[in-house]
Amino acid sequence: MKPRIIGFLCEWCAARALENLAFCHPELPVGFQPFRINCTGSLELEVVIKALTEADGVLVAGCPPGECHFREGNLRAGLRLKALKRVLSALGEDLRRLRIIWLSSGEGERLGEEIHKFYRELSLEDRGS
Amino acid sequence: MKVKIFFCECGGNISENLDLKALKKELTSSGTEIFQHPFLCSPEGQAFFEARILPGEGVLVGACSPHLHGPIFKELSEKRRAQAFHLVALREEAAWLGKKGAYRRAMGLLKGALRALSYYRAPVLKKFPVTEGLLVIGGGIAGLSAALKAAEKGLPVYLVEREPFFGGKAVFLDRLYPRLECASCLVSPRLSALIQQENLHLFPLTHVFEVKGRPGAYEVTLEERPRYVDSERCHGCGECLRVCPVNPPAITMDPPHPVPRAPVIHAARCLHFRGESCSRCKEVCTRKAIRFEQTPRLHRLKVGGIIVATGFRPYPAEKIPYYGYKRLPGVITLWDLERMFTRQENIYGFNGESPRRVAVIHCVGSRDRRHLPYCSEICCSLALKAGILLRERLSAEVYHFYLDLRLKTPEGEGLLRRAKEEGIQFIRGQVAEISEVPLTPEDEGRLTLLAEDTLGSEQRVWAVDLVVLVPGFVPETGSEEMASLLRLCPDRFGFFSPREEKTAPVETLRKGIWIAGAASGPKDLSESVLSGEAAALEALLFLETPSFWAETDWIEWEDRRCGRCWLCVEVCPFKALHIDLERLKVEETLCCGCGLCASACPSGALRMKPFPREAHLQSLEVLFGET
Ligand SMILES: Cc1cc2nc3c(=O)[nH]c(=O)nc-3n(C[C@H](O)[C@H](O)[C@H](O)COP(=O)(O)OP(=O)(O)OC[C@H]3O[C@@H](n4cnc5c(N)ncnc54)[C@H](O)[C@@H]3O)c2cc1C
Ligand code: SF4
Ligand code: SF4
Repeated sequence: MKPRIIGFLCEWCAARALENLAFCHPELPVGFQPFRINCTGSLELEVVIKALTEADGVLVAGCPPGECHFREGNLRAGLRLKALKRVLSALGEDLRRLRIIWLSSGEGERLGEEIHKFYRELSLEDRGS
Repeated sequence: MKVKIFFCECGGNISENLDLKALKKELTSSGTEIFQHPFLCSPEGQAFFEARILPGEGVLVGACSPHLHGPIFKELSEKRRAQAFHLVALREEAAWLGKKGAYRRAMGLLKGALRALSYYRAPVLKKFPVTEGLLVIGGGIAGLSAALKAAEKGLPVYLVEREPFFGGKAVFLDRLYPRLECASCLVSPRLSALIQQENLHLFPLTHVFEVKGRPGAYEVTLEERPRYVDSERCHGCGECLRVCPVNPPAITMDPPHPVPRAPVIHAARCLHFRGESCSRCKEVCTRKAIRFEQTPRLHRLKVGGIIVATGFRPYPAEKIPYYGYKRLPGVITLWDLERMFTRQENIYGFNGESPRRVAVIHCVGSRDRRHLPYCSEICCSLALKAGILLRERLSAEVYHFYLDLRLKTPEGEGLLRRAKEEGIQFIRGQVAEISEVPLTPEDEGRLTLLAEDTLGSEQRVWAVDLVVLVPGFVPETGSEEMASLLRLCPDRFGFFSPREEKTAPVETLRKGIWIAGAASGPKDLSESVLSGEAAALEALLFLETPSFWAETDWIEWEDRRCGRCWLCVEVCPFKALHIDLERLKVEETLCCGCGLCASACPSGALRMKPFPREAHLQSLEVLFGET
């Protein structure tokens, strides 16, 4: 099966970063699928887990500390996803499949780099991305 | 529900990178009707769009970013009474991310959105009444410009300033960049206007203690600290200032144009409050205005909206040890210099004499990852102003040390020319150290300044008598508390973020709360006035209508599922939830639909609108299942 990475992108930073990046017409890995969310803090763990069970990797991208559009959504998400990682590790899951990054809307290029890096680290390129 | 899909070609931006025909074919097979337009956002495109929507239908738009034309399409489909609306950014999230993956990504977006639409629940539009009054926090030039405009239009305005006098930084400035006109002459008429405006209520020495309620109906508690001088009785003769035996005096009336025109007693320094029997000021006051017995007072107000204009302050230069500020005599900041100029004090260098050579250092702390990683925009101009004044008033040799010269306004260039003609030197370079060790024995009594001359790419040293540091700007102290009191969003550096920087610069994400002046980022005087007046306009528009409509009802609470852990109440960053007889209540105007509560709920008792958890789960399902 073709590789797939779900990118949960916060509407206010990461999704805008992707828009900025898009203006430069990059060539992103074919399997990268953006998924807009209102705030990383609103992302329910059930949804993350659903994505993890089906996708090769899950990227959650939210605003840097102190910059959340909803004051503290990113902090909540950070804590929650950290806890999820602990559970996943106890279950023997490969933790590399869940990646969390914080970036502001101006950091489109960095988002692109992070996506490529994620692909490389999960060795998805070999599967014909 | 029948769903109609609208593709925008975006003049080829989408259609040339994405096979819309193939997408159409694959999607129509599932029974949806699809329309396509070369420019859906154009007037013709909008008419085309509107005409094809029937009441009760679902609408899915595949166009550009929702931040661009999203609100227009949403409004049009609401106008046509569509039942559900969704938009996917085919351009930014598919067409423009590489041709190879475009089709698959687009299909993923569209099928996911189609599935999500069947879970769509529209938020409810509701009407809320608006109280007339306006609270303005911060009595600097921005706050008072806002207060004056709103009051002129007849609104009851309450202007709160935590310092004893109104005017903010501007009253302590001497000359103004770029025209070097007298600052006080520009600012004082505005200050005088404050006292004349009848429906403008002034609260000096006051801070905001509590804010409750909702947009259109806030209940605010203010706490006013005692002045110990009755400003109604006092006529500002200043006799009391002369008799105070304490140094520095415990009773002061600092600003050149004090408003209110009555001194203030600083209890921490005052002998009377330190248990001694001094009452010299009281004795000398013919108006019997001294009131040692004053105590803090609470004021309760009802207002419909709030303007935040709490300003900025220069970055504390003492945090950068190698400049020697507060350690070496003869090292001052621009702020110190302005105050010396306004008080007409003599200016002394390191050795206590009038300085012969002055260094003006730009970008103190600015553009430095360890301090302020940004450029404060206005400081180069202010530094240039200081250099010229020092040259002209003290006939000193002046050296500027800068990284890049960033001068504002067209007049800036003229001022730079004037500076160069007067012999002021500009050295592009980073100052590495200022020390008291003389450069050569002849330089005894002078400071040594070591700098990297980046144009000559070498390190050089100078002997100087006075160093004027020009730091970048940070938000005023207490902005963090203000942010949490009003639930505003600060940016990375602590300045308040507008709802949209370019198109809604004085609005915040909170309805009924606006920002003005340097509190939202470094601004010069004219920009501060401008934003103050813009905020007043927004406030007037909001407060002069008796009620407003807002989308509400973002969450649904299921009584049967709820375990009464009240995690949601604790989590909500906007304090929009409270418990009422074991039931969850939402303050509709405070809730902004962020969804933090729903994601925190361990029992799945909260459902978000317009798209609940199932919509996301189902979108993922189709994504993996079908594409
Ligand atoms: C050294 C220096 C030189 C300058 N030179 C020039 C120049 O030459 N030309 C020019 O155009 N501009 C100049 N400026 C910039 C100018 O001073 C600012 O543009 C202006 O002061 C910004 O106005 P403001 O009202 O936004 O903020 P401020 O002047 O900072 O006023 C904010 C007010 O809010 C009050 N406040 C803060 N927090 C609270 C709170 N929690 N509760 C109640 N009150 C609160 C403060 O006490 C203050 O009075 C200079 C600034 C400095 C520091
Ligand atoms: S978090 Fe959920 S279960 Fe807990 S009180 Fe709120 S709605 Fe009820
Ligand atoms: S959606 Fe956000 S603002 Fe509204 S009640 Fe829930 S946590 Fe509070």
